[in-house]
Amino acid sequence: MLPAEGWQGCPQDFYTLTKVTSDKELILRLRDQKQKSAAFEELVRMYQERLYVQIRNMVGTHEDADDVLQNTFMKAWAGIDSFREESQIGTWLYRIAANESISFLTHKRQEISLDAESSHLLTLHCADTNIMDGEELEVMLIKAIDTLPPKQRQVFTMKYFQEMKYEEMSDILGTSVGALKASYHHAVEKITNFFHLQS
Amino acid sequence: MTKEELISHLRNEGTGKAPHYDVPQGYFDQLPSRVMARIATEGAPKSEVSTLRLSWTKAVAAACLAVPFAVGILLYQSRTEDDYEMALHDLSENEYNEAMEVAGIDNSVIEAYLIENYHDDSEI
Repeated sequence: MLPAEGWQGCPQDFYTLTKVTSDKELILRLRDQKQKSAAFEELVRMYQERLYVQIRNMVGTHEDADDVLQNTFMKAWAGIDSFREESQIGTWLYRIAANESISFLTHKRQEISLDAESSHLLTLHCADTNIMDGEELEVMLIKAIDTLPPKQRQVFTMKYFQEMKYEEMSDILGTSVGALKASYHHAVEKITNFFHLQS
Repeated sequence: MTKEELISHLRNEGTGKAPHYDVPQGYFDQLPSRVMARIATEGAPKSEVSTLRLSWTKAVAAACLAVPFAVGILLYQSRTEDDYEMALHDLSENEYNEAMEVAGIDNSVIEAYLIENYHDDSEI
């Protein structure tokens, strides 16, 4: 087992690491049917680790993150011809990954009761993740995040771990800045309540 | 950092260190080829756009079926109305013929019929 390399979740890194020119070139190659497959494979290589971290923040385990990441790229392949370049390709991929993660968690919640799912996720998440050298407070925070509804979890992890601005989140999630702020503060209140219950 | 400090940090929209996730060795080396293999075998899933197009296609097909059906109903109705008018016409003809037949009856026969069946009490 190796640690996921590179990206630490900083949005500035997310956008600056990807050169706009190489994005443009890649899109041109994706539009060419002869080069499409090779260009798409390159796109996967370019974004896989960043998307993996975002998805893993949401779903918890490697197995689930792997499923959701693959589905994200499958959806991207299906929609690449209709990508209108209104946003950067990274933002577009991020949006697909966010939707796939929320969809995954929603289905999972329907399948398993909330309590059972939470304990299931927590066990796997904590066992599978080397968080802050196992510091109790960080582990408790991860446990608290796991109890959040999917959309609040998305907003919280983007804000807290990836230091994303609300405007950037708004582009990706298609939600207003006001609604995102409200969602973040609801999440913080739930985390606070979780902490109080634990003590 | 204490629990209270962390809560205060969160309320002030502070950020935290992203967890380091472990992945199986070689995972990111193999993922692109796994994705491409899935695309080759499964094909692309239907995107929302194609679903939307499909639903439009269904709507157009339904309209295509509905239009002849509606025209058929209108034709049937108009035809029924024609039949009804023709029936009315036929009825009028019958009545006319009946009237003509009545007109041809001898007056004495009519008078006898009236005497037998009609009594005017006012004359009494």
